[in-house]
Amino acid sequence: MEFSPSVIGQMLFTGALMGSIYGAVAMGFSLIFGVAKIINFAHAGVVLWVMYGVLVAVRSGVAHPYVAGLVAIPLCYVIGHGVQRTLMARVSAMSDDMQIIYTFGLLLVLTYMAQFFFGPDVHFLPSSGLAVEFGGVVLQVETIIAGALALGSALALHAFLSRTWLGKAIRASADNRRGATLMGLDVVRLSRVAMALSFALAALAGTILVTVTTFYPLRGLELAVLAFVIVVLGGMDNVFASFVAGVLIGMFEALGTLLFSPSIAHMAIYAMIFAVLLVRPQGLFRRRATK
Amino acid sequence: MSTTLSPILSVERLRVKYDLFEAVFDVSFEVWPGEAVCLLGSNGAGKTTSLRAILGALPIAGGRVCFLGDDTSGKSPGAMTMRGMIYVPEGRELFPSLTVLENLELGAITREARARTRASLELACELFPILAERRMQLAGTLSGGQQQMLAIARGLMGLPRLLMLDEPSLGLAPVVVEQVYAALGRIVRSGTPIILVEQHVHQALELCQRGYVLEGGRTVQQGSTAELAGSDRLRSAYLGVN
Amino acid sequence: MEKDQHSIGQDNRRWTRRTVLKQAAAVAGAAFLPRFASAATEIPIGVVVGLTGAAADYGRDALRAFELVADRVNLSGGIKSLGGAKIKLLVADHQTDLRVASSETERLITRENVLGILGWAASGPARVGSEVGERYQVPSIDTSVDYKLTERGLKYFYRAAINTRQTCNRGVEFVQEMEKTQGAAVKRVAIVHEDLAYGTGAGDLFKEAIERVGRWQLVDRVAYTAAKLTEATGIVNKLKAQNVDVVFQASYPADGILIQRAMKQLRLDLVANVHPAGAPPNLQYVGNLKSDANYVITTLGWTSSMAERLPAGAKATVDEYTKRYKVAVQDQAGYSLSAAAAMVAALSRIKSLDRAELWQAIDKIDLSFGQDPNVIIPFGIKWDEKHDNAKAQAVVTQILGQQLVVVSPKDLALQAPVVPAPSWNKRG
Repeated sequence: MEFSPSVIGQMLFTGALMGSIYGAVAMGFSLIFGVAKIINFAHAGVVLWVMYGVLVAVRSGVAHPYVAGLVAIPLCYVIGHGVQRTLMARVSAMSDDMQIIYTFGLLLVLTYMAQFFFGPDVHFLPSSGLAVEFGGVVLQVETIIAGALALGSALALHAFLSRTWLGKAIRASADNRRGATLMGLDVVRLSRVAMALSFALAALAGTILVTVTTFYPLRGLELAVLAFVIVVLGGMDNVFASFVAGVLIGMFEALGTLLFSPSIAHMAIYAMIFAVLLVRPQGLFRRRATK
Repeated sequence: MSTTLSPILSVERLRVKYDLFEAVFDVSFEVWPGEAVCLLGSNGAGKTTSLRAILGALPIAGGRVCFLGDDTSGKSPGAMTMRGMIYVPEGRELFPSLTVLENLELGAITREARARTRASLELACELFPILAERRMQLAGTLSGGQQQMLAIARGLMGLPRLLMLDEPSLGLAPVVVEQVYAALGRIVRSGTPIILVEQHVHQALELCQRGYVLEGGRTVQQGSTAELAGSDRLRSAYLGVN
Repeated sequence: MEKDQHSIGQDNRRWTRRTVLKQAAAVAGAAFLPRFASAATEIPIGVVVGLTGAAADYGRDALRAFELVADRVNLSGGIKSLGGAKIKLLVADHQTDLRVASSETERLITRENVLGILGWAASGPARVGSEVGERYQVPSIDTSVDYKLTERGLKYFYRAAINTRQTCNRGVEFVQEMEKTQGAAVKRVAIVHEDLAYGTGAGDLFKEAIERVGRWQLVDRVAYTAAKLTEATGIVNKLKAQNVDVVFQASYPADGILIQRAMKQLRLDLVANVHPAGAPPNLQYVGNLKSDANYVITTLGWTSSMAERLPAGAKATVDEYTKRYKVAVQDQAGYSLSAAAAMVAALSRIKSLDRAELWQAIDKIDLSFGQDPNVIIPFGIKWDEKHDNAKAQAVVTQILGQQLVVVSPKDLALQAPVVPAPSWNKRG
């Protein structure tokens, strides 16, 4: 098979844009693993509920998806803070397998609650139909905006974590929780801020996903697996690396689709994860620091 | 006013339930303004446990701890740090995947300290010039001695009213121990009160004015470092071990 | 869980023993009694469908259809040949779970002594349930669509529904017809399908049918995992790169919607996009895509828009169903009405409540469209050598003006097909 430049361009751009949306889903997941050491599968459930929330707002004529997202992000920030105080307060003290059972259980509860309230049907927001075309590559405006917002949030989060004192403190408590406690950082409060940020990221991810894809309750489970795969690839607690890993997965998926088929591409992604876990368990991008 | 008349820290009959080896039954000591005090004793005598309980990182089972005139019971390490009690833990407890500079910046934990970050950084780098050289390097990549310097410097960034140093020479080569103690001497001379837990008795006695000897979770002896240096008890407690 | 299995095991033993005794008594009695059923007899017919689980919608529709037919028969004096005996439906929920489908089928056979089975309205449960029926030699008429169900050589299993082989073949045939009648130019074709049993099966069938046609070039076969598909421009980009004229596609609603939207986005202009049932008949498909769903072609065994062109008796049945349940007859309900009609017709030919006799009667069924009011899928019921419904014929529908409209065969068609579909740029 020979491909014209426009076909390859289409593949690269779509892959990168979708990948950055995957990255946006994974970042919040990774953040919370880094700081609170919780493998929070329920993160995908939050994304799912934001998708339904935005859908309801749009269908009832209350708001445009992006406006709904603007409300959802701070709202989820506050909810995340509350969740870390209550539902998640004792999770970091649980053993790893209990944690996974607990957060996965929460994900199932969120998934089946969505099914109960909204039914198993597929939902999908009508697109604006606006597209950008250049050199035979056609990109839907929603996809471009989604990719830009995802990239923007990744850069903003990266700047927050590397430039601000609070961000550095969050990374510090992820790096050495006991050390952070002994030097007087309030790790409990930092976990709450991290969970709140993770919820805000879930809100952003949910909002942009609604504008580009179809969804139904069981999508939550798929998103959880996707986020987990990306985060393993990126190195669990490295937030920006998770974003980059998301982009890579998106490109890999697009390339695999073009050369083989989506089924094979997805299988290859999972195979790649096993390879990463075997060869570089710290993730593709993580520098190994001696302690 | 009162700080000149009363101790910065007073510990009376401290009792901490921890584990069999590190339990504290009856520890008392005081630190006065401008003073450097050492806690001496063999491994498992209860020195680290005492410091961590005073900081609020371990629950106090009995006795009384006053810092700057206030009872500290029930306070978290965060709250104590905010009041100026800075702990430089045994084993350094740095943030290995953060840079040297970031580690230092995080030491400035109070609002006041954060406002003076730049000045404190200059001071820290003057004290330990190697840190200035390595400031963009990850803390985890430093040598043991450099890590200890970073831990101390990170403590200083918090503008301590009391600096608690836990085994700062542990695992360091003798020449590095000399460097670290030279810096500690300058800190003491600048008037920062210090509690030093140390197994290197000679350096500790040289640096501090007063000292306490702990044994089996109890304070068994106290006095000026000159008195302690001549004490049989200290010799018997230490020379066998060290 | 273990406890349950244990108790079921005990039940089976007990009931097996009791069944043996019963059969012994029946044999003894048969020697003395004339072989006529008494007027008060009920005819136990098992209904095993999914009322919960993934196939619950199908199960609910199937049950409604079975009940409608049974009530009609019972209200008009029961089965005459059995002295006016009433049909008694014994309903079990297979929960769209294979293990449950097997155990519930067995329970109805051994404990409730059902004469025959109507079911399973889902391919997986039908596969295991039919094997239980085979073991106990109980005849069953199924309404699932997986073509592989009838390729196992089962003796007691019949299928009234149109199967995927019939719908896929009809789709390929239809495109050939369009080449002749509409002058549509087809050279390069591709298959796109989801990678579970439904899509993979359809992909295989399309491939066979396309190879039989011979003159088309099958340029690609794209399999994808429906649950993992978040965007489909990758698939469509690939199709576009290969200058595809016709796409044969087997999708579920969510992924079908994504693919169709990507076709619009990348302006993939096709002569035809043909689905064997799958996504397009689903209300969510047009509901979400609106006018972007137009011109998609689907081959089906039944669609409610066919009702207008049905013979009077069949039309009345459809109306009664719609009135009674306040919903249109969906495909499973359509197949199930016909399956129930076949069961009733067979019961009307037997003289005693005997499974073997019922089996013989079912095997000889030959009902024509318009002859029996309960037969509503065109064009009747008659089994081929595999026990598939040889008289069933897929209709071709096209989404036109956001409605599923029958475009073939001529006697059922409401509109002429629009092939080739207008290009995306002209759709506005």
